[in-house]
Formats: sequence, structure tokens, C-alpha cells
Amino acid sequence: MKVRKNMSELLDELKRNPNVVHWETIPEQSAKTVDFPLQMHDKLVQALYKRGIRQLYTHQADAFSTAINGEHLVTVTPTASGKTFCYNLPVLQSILENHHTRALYLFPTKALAQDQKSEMNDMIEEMGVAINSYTYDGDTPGSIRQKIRKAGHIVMTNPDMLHSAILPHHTKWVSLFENLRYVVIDELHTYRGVFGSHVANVIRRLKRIAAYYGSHPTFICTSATIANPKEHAEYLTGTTMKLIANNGAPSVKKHFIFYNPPVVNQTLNIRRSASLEVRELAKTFLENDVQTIVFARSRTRVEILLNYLQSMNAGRKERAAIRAYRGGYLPSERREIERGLRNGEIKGVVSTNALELGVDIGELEACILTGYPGSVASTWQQAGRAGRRDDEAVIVLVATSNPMDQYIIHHPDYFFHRNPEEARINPDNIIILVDHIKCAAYELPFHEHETFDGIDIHDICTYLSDQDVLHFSSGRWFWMNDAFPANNISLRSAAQDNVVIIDQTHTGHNRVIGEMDRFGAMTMLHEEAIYMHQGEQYQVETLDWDEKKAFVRKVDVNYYTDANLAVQLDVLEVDKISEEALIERAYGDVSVRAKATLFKKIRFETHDNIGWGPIHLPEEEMHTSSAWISFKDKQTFAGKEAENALLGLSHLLKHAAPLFVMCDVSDLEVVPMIKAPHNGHATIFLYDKYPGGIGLSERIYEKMDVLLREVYQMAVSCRCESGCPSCIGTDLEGEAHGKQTIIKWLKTLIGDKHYVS
Amino acid sequence: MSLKKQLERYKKHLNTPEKANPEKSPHAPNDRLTRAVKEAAHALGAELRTLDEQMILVRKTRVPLTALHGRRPLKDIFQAVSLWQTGQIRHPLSAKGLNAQDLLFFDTETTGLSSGAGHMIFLLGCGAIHGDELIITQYFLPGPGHEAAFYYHFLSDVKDLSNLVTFNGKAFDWPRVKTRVAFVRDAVPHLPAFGHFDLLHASRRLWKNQWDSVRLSVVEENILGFHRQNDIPGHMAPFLYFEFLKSPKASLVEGIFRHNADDIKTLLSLYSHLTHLIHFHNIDPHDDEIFALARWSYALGEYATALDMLDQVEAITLTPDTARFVRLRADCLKKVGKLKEALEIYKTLAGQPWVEDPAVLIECAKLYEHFSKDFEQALYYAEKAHQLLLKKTGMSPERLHKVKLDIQKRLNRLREKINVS
Repeated sequence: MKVRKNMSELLDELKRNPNVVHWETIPEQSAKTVDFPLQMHDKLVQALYKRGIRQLYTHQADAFSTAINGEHLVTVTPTASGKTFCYNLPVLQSILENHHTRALYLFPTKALAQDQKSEMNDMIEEMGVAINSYTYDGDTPGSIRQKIRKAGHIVMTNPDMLHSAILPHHTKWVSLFENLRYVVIDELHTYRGVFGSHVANVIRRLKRIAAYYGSHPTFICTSATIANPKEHAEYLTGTTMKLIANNGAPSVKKHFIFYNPPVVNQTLNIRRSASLEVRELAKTFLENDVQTIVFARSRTRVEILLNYLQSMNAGRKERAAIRAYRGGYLPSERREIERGLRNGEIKGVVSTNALELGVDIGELEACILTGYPGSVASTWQQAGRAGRRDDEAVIVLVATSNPMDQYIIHHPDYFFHRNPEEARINPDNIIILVDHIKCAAYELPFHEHETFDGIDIHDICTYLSDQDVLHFSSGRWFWMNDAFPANNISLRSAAQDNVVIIDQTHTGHNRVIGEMDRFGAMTMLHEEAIYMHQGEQYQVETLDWDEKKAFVRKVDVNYYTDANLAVQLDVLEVDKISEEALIERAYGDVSVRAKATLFKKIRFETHDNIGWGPIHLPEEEMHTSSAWISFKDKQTFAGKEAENALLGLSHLLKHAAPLFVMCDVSDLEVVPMIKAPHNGHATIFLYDKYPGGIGLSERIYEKMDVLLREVYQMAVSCRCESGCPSCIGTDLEGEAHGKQTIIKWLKTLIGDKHYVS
Repeated sequence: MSLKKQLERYKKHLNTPEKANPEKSPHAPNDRLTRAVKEAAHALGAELRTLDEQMILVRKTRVPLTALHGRRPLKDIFQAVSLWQTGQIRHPLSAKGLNAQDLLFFDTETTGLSSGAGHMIFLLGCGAIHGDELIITQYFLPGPGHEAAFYYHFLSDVKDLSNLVTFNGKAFDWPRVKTRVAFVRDAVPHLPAFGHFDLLHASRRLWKNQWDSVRLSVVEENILGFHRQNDIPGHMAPFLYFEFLKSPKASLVEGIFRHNADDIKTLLSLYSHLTHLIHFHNIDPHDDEIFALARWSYALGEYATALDMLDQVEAITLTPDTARFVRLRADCLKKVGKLKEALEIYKTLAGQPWVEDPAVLIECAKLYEHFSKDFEQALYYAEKAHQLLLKKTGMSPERLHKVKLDIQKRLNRLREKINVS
């Protein structure tokens, strides 16, 4: 039998691998602990002792005393650092001190809430006290809902339930709201963009209802590492936050390895598939008994990898199990995987990015990322899965051909020394705000001089009264409409006229799996589009534009679709502008008129174009905010070459911009125009794909210098000659976009600024 | 950008309902509104009652009990209540120990159908018998700021809410009363304990297979023979009320008062009718109703009553349509311990070529196994049930799975028993 290699032998082997382009060693860190605070309740101390815990990490102790003092706080901690204690300990302490105390926990998903409930109930059992902790979501049976409302000390739910089921029915939750001492917001960083802007307003409503019943809860937030945790938490909750970042959890020595698959086609600069490389790497780890987690971007990829790795194990005597892990797993299944990992029955886990959220499956020895996860923050979160207490850990990032991946892999400094992304929201987006003013008025009439957590609402109420939604009487604005406003407002997607997505995979059991704003639907839900939902692929079979319904069916294909949108942009108002000799950069309000024209089918991995089709949908108009760069020199920026260069630059910006504002590539649109109607110059617009804007393009305007410098780096560092899918992209015919022109332009852009500053 | 300007710019993105009436209605000054409400009260023949600054309208209507409501006079109610006193039927609608005067017929009109905090009740109607009259008292909320007065007067007048008669009151009217009272709980008397007879539940049991929806209006036309004159449909009420709030005129809400009063009379008549049906008194229920009543008794655990009811059905030949009567009789016989008779009927049913329900075959298998101890026969029926199940459609996958699992267990057990013996 082959002798197994140990970790250091494996590391030595990797060091000799020519595809390893960077090796970062992160030194180990010992635990920083303190004794239990004196005021901590005996029962709590005993429960912790039962778990073998004799001391708290520094951040846990700080969170405890801060929360007990009634100060709002946000903790920022890496994966697996015991963050749940940061909120569970003060909450339990307060309930032990006063049995009437209530706490509300918000998790971004149902699964997380259910996970936490099991954890909480274990703790309560160990304390041997009668504390009721429940999840409250769509799956909660009607029979226990009443008990939860009346007697639940800890209610664990998600923002959607709070928005549509709890707040509008607050009279049934009197005992919760009268005694609401804590609001826990876990995974704070997930509340960004449109979703975050909605959630910020739901929290405004929550505070308003709590105040009506006489409570002013303390907010305890936890976040993964982002650049602006304090600011973000303050913006989201409208309170002053104390930042707790003194992570005291220990970590082992970690090797963070950048791995770039070899180039297989020199002229097109195409590299070997990342999946293939990941397979080989995972195989080596697993064969040598190293517990490994593999992250892949899509569910299909997870299944393929799983299949391969399982078959590789088939012939072995002591057959070690490899399991898949993706969204939608039950807590019991997760427990089983966790247990299997602990006792060694399970050797490997293949997961989608779903696991990035704080679901705890323990730590492993090796972690392989198939492609750059899209943000510094996500990468660290996934990497955090590696780090067993007693041994060195290894993390391998395997790059794909995607421009962002190639940039990161060639600029390790960028990754290791820059701040992670910022989370941005805009709770005052007029459309989102008006939606929630309606919900708030439904919950409780607004007094004439009342504000909505500081926002003057007189104009909005007057407007809504003109629309026959509110009625002013005896100094108050009353809801006077037969509709239930929360029903028409979804937190997860854009505002009005959403297209409902209906899965008809199982005949007779159609179900709604999501919804999307009309604007997004044009490019993502047109007929034949491949729609991704929780990592699953669906094909759109029919799009009923008038009825706002898209009928989809599950498929398993190796391509995705990308639709072309003919966009007409008009600048309505310039809010900020900086003009230089050759360049104009600005930020303001724009009107976007868009018409979907055709779509392409693009193969995963290679990004080959393997087919196309027309789209027949009417034009849509949207007002939003946008940043833009105009090139004023008509001599340089004209002609076919300039046109191509503009396209190529847009391609780069589209991939690079999300880096800066921590958003999905789909939240931000980049549109080049040869001749922008407002100034006649060649212009690239970067606009928020949500009516009214959610703060992304404003931030891009502010950070334009940094963005352009990064983009320049991306262009020059790519080894292709005249452009490839890894940098400036290629057009439909595979023709590159004039890389040299772009580099020249970018030099001007950066140089111009340098000259000025 | 100012909010006003933004509102203008993003107007088409704002998710507001289409306005039926685009012209702007300016807020009328308060005293003018008050005056208009007073005039409306006068026109409606309602009295004004106040609490501090707040006021409400209260209208009383007296209806002689000799009046017909549909085919029958309202005074039938006395006989109905007395039927419960003499009879032995245990039933959720039973008024045993009560007088007709104890019943409170109750119905509300609301600004919307959801039970959330933003929809209110603007009309509370209740009817009670005094002497030879039905007195309908209607409390009307003239504006959203008067709810304290509204519930104060309602709850001060109506002290006992333990015998409410409603149509869907448990799920609709009562939770809304609770929600609204929660907002003004410091200013009004405590909500008394609530008990009720819900006629929606009874109507669904009896007639849900006959009509698409068992609404009060459908029941009263088809069962009571009552046809409304110039009725305002219930779903229009909120819009008329919103109009009234902007410019109070009696003509806007008069129809709502009438609609609500009709509802209350219908509740009284329907209660009488249902009581007579349940007692088979003065009414000849048709076979569907008998089946529904018998099945209801079965569900209540009153198997003997159910058998008595089934005896009222004229001798029937066994067809796919009448099988349900025979089947229910067998179920009842089994429950009262007449297993032999039950088995005979199940066997007859199982022997029909058109039988599609594996449940009958399973019953045969059960009785043969546990009562007759004839495992071979039991196995025969279990196998037949299993075959039927394989063809069975229209069952949810989960349910089908469970039934299959059960049969499989039974088959295994029976085969084992046969092998042993």
C-alpha cells in the first residue's frame, strides 16, 4: 500500500509545482482570552463549563459587557471564531436576570435561523432553565405560532417575515414588543444593495413599533470582514455603534496559495479549466487523508466535482465519504456532515458559495477555491473554513480565465494588502422609502409631526394621500386603502411590477421560486434564458410580459446566457462633476431606456459563444443614478478603433467595478456610448440597476481614480497581445477590442489626474 | 434633490394603485366635516354618542319577528332554540340551556380583508331579540380617529359576548375586534370572553359540494329563499367608506347599513334553518344534506346519531354515486362495534367492479385480520388494495408514499402470519 504523505510533504510538493504563482504564509495566532465577567449568571457559567469552556475570547467578553450596558455593537470576526456567543451570552444573561426579557434574531435565511435555534436550544438545555427559543418563518406550523407570539423569549426569523408577517400584525406580538431588549442582526454584510436598503427601512419600522410599546432595543450585529462594518451597521440600524474587532480566537499557521492553470492555447491565451485543476488538487489531498473543502461557483460544478471525487474513492478499502453541501440542506443533514467531519467518516466536502454564510460545519485542513469568489470579503470567509486547531492549514485559490481572477492571481499584493470591500446601501432611495412609509402607516398612523427615524415624511404622506392611500384626520395620517401593502413589496428584489418566476419542473406542482424587476427580467428572464436560482439552472420556457410571469424548468446545461441590451441614456441632472482637459467625470440622475435585442449562449469555463437568439420585448424606461466618464478629445476618441476600445474598456470596468462597491455584477450596469446625448462625447456610464439608485454609482464616482488605476493594471498585466476573455473581452465574432488603444487611453486617464494632483 | 421633486420624477416607479378618480379632493376643514357627519347621522336616523373629543353614530332598527326573511318568518328562532332543549344531540351549534334572547347575531364591515394592524372595522352590527322584535344595533365609525369612542360604546352596551352567532366570525370578525381594541385598550372596557356559533363552518359542511364558494349571499338565496333589494356588494363597502371619509354623506353609506342589517337577519334565519335540519324537524333534507349531516355527526363521534340519520335515506341501490352512504354506514357500524355487519358492507363495496378507493379494501383486510382472524382473506384484500394503489392518481406524492408503505407493512405481516400458521 502506498504510504500517505503528511501535510509538510504535500506542501513541499506544491512548492515545486510550476503553476503555483504566489505563496503567502499567514503566521499562527494564539488565543487571547479573559476570565468570565463577574456579573455573568451562575447558570451561564455552568453551561459553559459543561462545554469545557473556562474563559471567553476577548471579543466575546467585550461584546458581553457592551451589550449588557445597552450599547449597540457590531462585531467583526473571521469564520469560526465563536461569534454566536457575542449575542447569545448577553441575551441569555438578560433573560436569566429578568424572565420577561425578549430578543429578536434576524438571519438572512431560514436555514441559518434553524441552525441557530438548535445551537441555542442545546445551550438552554445545558442551563436547565425554561427559556423558549423558536424560529418563526413560513414553515412554522399555525398551531405553535400563538405560543411563539406570547411566550417566545427568543424569536429567530428573517427580515422578510418581520416585514410581512410580524410588523403588520404587531398587536398579536404585544409581549415581544413591550419587552424587546435585544435585536440581533447576524451576517450584517449580507444586507447590502437593494436588499440592504429595504432591510434598513424594515428596521426603521421595527424601531417605531417597539417605541410605540415603550421599548428601545439594543442592536447586536455580527459581520464578516468588510471595509466599513461600523458605518454600515450604523446606516442599517440608524444607531450609533461600538465596533468590536479585537478577535481573540486562535488560528493556526496558514498557507495561502495562488494557483494559475497552465495556458493551453497561446494565441487566444486560454488556460486549462480550473475545475480540472481543482479535481487533481483535491484528489491529492484526499488520497493523503487531508480533510478538504472545495468551493465551486455553481451547483452543477459541485455535482460534477463530487461525482469525480467519489468515483476516485470507490476502490479504496477504508472508503472515505465525500459529501456535497449546498443551499437547502436541513439542519439534521448538516449535523450529520459536521459529525462525520469530526469523527473522520467524511473526508471531503464540495460546496457552493452558499456555505459562505455562517453555517458552521467546523474547520478542515485544506480549502480549495474554484475561481476567485468575487470579493476579498468572500474569499477570506471561504478560506476561513481551513484551520483545524492542531495542524497547519492550506488554502489554494485556483484561477479561471475570468478577468477578475487573472488580475487577482497576478496581483497578490492587491489581494493581501487591500481592505475588503465596502457594503453600500441607500435607505433613502425614494422608491424603497415610499414603499416602507406605506407599510409603516399601515402598522401605525403617522402623527403630523412625526419623522421616520429622522426622515421628514410630510411630503411623502401628502403624496400618498393624493393617491388615496392615506387619509389625514385628527392630526394623523391613517392607512385608508383595502390593500395590504407588505404583500406587494418584496425585500429581495426591485420595486414595481415584478415578474414572478414560476418553476414548472414538476407538472401539477408549480411553485413560485422568486421574482425580478421588469428591467432585470428583460435580460435575465427572456425566453430561452438560463436563470440561476440558488445555484440551480432553470431555462425560461415562456415569459408572459403582460401577466408578469416567467415559467421556468430545471435544466442541466454547460452554458449560461447573456443578453444584449440596447440602451439609451439621457442625463437628467448632474449632481457632481470634475472636469479636466480631456476627461469629464460626473455623477447624477439619468434616464435609462432599454430594449433587449438578442442573447448569446456562453459556455462555462471557456466563455465560448455557442449560440444566440432574438428577444422580442417592449422598451422599458427607468430613472436611476449613474457615474460616467466622458472623453472629450474628439481627435483621439473617434473611429472604429475607438469604438472597439470603448467596448473593451467597458468590459474591464464591468468586472472591476463590483470589486469596489461589494455588489453583484448584476446590480451595476456599464454602458458605453460613442456619442452621449448630453455632451456629444464618447462616454462610459456605470449606473445602479435599480430605480432611484442604491448608492453604488455614487461610490464609484468617489473612487474613480483607484478604479481606473486598477483597471489599467488589469489591462497591462494580461499576457495576451491584443485582448482576450481574461482582460478586455472579445466581441461576438471573437475579434479583440484594441488592447493597445485602451492602455493608451487609460494612461491618459490616470496621467491626467496625476498631472492635476 | 428635494423629496417633492424626487416624487415627481420617480412617480411611475412608485408602486401605488391606479386611482379611480384623478381629481384632487382637498381636505375639508375639521368643523365642516363634523357638521357633515352630524347631518349624515340625522339622515340615517342614527344617534350621536361621544367620548371626550370623539364621536360615533349608533342606529337602532326594530324588526318585528313576524316578518318573513326569505321563505320563513324570523320567529322560527324560538322553535329552533327549544329543539336544542328537548333533544339529546350534542353539537357545536347546540343552544342547550339558552334562551333565544341570549343569542347575539354579529357582523362587521371593514376597510380591508387582511387581519393586520392597518385595516379597521367601521361598522359593528349586532342583533338581539327583545320581546317580539329583533333589535339591530349598528355602531358606525365616522373617521379613523374615533375608535376609542367606537369600542367604548360597543363594549359598554354589549356586556356578554359568549353566545355570538357569526358567519366566519372566529377567523374574521373576532380577530379584527381584538386587534382594534388593542389600540385603544386603555380607554375602553375589557373585552369579555368570547364564545360563538360559526355558521360558515356548518354551511361548508352541508353545501360546499354544491357551490363554488359558500358565501352568505349564496346560502341565503339558495337555502333561505331571500333575495336582497339594491344590495351593496361587500367588496364595495371600503371604497364607499373612503369616499365618506372625504365628504361625509348619508347616501354613501346607507347601503352599507342596509347590507349589514340584512346579514344579521340572515344569520338569525340561517341559525334557525340549520337547527331544524340537524333535528330533521319540519324540514325534509335532501340526500346530500343527510349525508353531510351524518358525516358531521360521525366526525363529532356521534356514531349512533349518524346511523339514525342514514336511516332517513330511502332504500338505495348501490351505484358509484350512492356508495358514499353505504360506506359511511359501514364506518359507523365499525365504530359502534358491529364489526360483522361492517365487514359485510365493506365486502359488498369491495366486490363492485367500479370500486376505486383502496381504503375499502384495506378496511376488509383489517377486519379479516383482526376480527375474523382469516389471514388468507386479509391478504387477498390487501393485495387487491396494493394493485389499486399502483393505478391510483390524484393523491399527493407524500400521501401516496405513506399509504403504500402502510400496505407494504400489512402485506409483510400477513405473509408472515400465514407462514407461521
